Amino acid sequence: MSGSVVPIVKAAGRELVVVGVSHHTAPVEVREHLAEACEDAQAFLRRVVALRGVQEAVLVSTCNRVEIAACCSPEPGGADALAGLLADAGRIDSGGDGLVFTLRGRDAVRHLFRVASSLDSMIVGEPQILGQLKQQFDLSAACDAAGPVLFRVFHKSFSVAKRVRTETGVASKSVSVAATAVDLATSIFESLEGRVVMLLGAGETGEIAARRFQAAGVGQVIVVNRTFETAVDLARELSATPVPLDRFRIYLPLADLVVGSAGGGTLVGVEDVTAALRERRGSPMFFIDLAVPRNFDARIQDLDGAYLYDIDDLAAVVEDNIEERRREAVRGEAIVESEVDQFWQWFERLDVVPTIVELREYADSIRRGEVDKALAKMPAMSDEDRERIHQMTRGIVNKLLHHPTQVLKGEGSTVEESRLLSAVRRLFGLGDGS
Amino acid sequence: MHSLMLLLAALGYVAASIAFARSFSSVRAPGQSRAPIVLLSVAFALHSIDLLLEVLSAGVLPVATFAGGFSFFAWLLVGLYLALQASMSLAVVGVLVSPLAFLAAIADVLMRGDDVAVPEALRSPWLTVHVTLAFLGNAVFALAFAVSAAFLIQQNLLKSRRGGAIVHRLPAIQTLDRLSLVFLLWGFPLLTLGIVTGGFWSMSAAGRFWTGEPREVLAVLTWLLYAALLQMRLLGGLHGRRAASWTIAAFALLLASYLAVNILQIGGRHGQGVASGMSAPEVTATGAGAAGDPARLPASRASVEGVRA
Repeated sequence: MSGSVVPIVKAAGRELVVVGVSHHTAPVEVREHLAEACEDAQAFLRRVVALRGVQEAVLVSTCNRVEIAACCSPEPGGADALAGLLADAGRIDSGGDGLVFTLRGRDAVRHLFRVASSLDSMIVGEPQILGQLKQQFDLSAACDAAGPVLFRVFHKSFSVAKRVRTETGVASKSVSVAATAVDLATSIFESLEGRVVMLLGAGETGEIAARRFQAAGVGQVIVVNRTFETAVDLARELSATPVPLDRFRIYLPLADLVVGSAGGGTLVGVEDVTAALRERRGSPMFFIDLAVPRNFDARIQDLDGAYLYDIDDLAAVVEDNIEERRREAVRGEAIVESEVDQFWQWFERLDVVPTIVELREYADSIRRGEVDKALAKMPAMSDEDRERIHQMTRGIVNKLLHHPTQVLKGEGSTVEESRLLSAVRRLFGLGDGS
Repeated sequence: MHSLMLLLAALGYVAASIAFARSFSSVRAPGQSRAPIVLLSVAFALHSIDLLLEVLSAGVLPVATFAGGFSFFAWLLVGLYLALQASMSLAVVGVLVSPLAFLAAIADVLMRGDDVAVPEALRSPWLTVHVTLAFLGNAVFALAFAVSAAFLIQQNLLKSRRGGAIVHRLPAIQTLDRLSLVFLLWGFPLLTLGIVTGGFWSMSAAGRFWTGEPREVLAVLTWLLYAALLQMRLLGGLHGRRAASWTIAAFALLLASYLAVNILQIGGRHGQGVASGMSAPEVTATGAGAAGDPARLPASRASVEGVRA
C-alpha cells in the first residue's frame, strides 16, 4: 500500500481516491482472486460503503484491473480502509506491498479519465472499456453506492473518452490480425455486404476470421476442408456451405475473399487464380493466408486484381497500427490533462469555505461602494458619524448573510450541499456555478 | 470590381485546399469534417458570381483568353465535384481539384485585362453551347483521370502491403475502378456533343463544318481514343490496372492537344483565335474559311492575343 495517510487534496472536506490493482501493478493471480471476490458486485459495494470514511464508491472491474473509485469523508483513513479491503479480498499477504495502488485527488481523476479513454489499457484504444465503465457505474448507482461526486467524475470521464476517441487516432486502426484483414477488405471492395468468403481449412483460425467477416456483413461463407465431415460441422455453425477439398476450384470464382488456414502447404496456384479472375470479369479477389506453410502461391500477388496478404504481412500492418496508436495516445494524454484541470476547478469550488468567504467579500464590496458614494455627498459629516454609518451598514450585511451562512455550514447530504453551493454561486454571480 | 470577387474565390480555394490537405493527412476517420466542402462551396459560389458578372458585362462566356478558359474549366470541375460529393465521399478528388481551382482562379485574376473586346465570331450562341459541353466533357474526363490515378496509387499501396494511413483515406479499389468507367460513360457523349456543336459553330462562323486543321484533327483523334477505351471497357473486359493506365493516357493526350493548340499554337492560324475548348475545333474569323468575309475580322484581336501571351 502506498505511503502516508496525509490527504493531499480535499474539497468540501471530501477526498477523491482510486484504490486498486491493475495489470501494471499486480500479477494475474491477484486479479483473479479479486475478480472472484467482486463477482457479486453489489454485495461487495455494500461492504465498501460500509467502511468508515467512505461516502461513495464505484467498482471498476475488468480482466485487467479491479479498482475502487471512492469519495471519502474528511476524517482520514478511508483510503487505507479501502486498500486493506482489497488486500484481503486479493489474498495479498503482508509481503505484497506495492501491489495495491492508491491515487488521490487530481491523480485519481486523471486515472479515471485515462482508463475511460482506454489510454491505460493493455491495448491502447480498445473500445470495450468505456461500455464496461458505464455499466459498472450504473450498477453502483443502482445500489446507492455512487453519489453526486462520483456521478460527476464518471460522466465527465465518459465525455473525455469520447473526445479522445474522436479527436485522436487512438482507436482508428485495427490491432488484431482478423480485424486488420477486414479493414484491408474494405479498401479493396466497395462494400462487404453480399461478398462471398471461402475458408480453406475448418480450423479455429479460419473460424475466427469467418466470424469477423460475418460481423462485417459478408453474405455467404463456403467452408472447404480435406475431411469433409469437419467442413460440414463448421458450416453448420456458421450457416455456411461445405465443399470437399478436391472440388473447391469450381467454387473459387465465386469467392471474393479466400482465407487460407489449412495444413498441407500450397493449395491454390497462380493458374487457379488466373482462371478465376478471368471468370470474374475484373472483380478483385482478396487472399488472406493465415496458414504456415502458406496455402497460396506467392506469385498470385503479381496478378492484376488479386491481393495477397500472408500472416507476416498482416502482423506487420498490426505492428504499424499499434505504433500509430501509441503516437496518438500522446495527444490523448494532453486532452486528458486539460480536462482534469477543468474538472478540478469545478471540484474545488464545491468547497463550502471559499464560497462563504467569496459571498461575504462580494456583499462587503457593494456595501463599501454605496457608503463611500453617499458619504462623498456629505462632506460636513464628522468622522464619528461616518464610522457609525459604516457600522450600521456592516450590521445589515451581517444580519442578511447570517442565515445563508449557517445553512451552508450546516450538515447536509452531499447532494443537497452541492446543489446549494451551485445555487448560491449562481444567485450571487460568484464565478462558474455549474 | 469583378476580379475582386474572383480574388476572394481564389482565397476560398486556397482555404479549401489547406482544409482538404489537413483532413486527408489527419489520422482521424476521413470524412468527419465538413469544413473542406463548406469552404470549397463558398469559393465556388464566389466564382459563380464572378462568372455571372462577366457574362452580363461582356455578353459571352469569358473564355477568350487561356486563363479565362482555364478558370471556366476549373469552375465546371469544382461544380461537378461538389455535385458528386453530395452522394459519396471522394476526399482524394477534392485534394486534387481544390489547388487546381486555385491556380486557375489566380491565373485568371492576374491575367485578366481591362476590357477585352470580344470578336464577333465569339458572340455566336453556338460557341457558348460548344464551349460548355466540351469543357464539361473535359472536366468529367479529368475526374476519370483523377480516380484512375487514385486507383493506381491505392493498388500499389495494397500490393506493397505497407499502405499505412493513406490506404484508408483512399476509396476502395473496386469503387475507383467503377467510377473511372462511370466518368468515361458520362464524358464520352459530352465530348461527342462538344465536337458536333463545335462544327455547327464553325458553320456559323466560317461557313464550313470541317476545316481539317490540326486542332480538329487532334480533337477527332482524342475522340477515337476515348471511343476505343470505352469499347474495350464495356465489351473487351478491360479493367483494373490496364484500364486505369489507358484512362490516364487518354487524358494526357487530351491535355497535350489542348496545350499544343493553345500555348505552342501548333494549330496555326486556326489556333490563334481563342482558347475556348480543350480539344474541340475552334474557328476564328481569321482562317481561310472567313476569307470571304473580311468584315468579321475582329478589330481587337491584338488585345486578345496580348492578354493570352
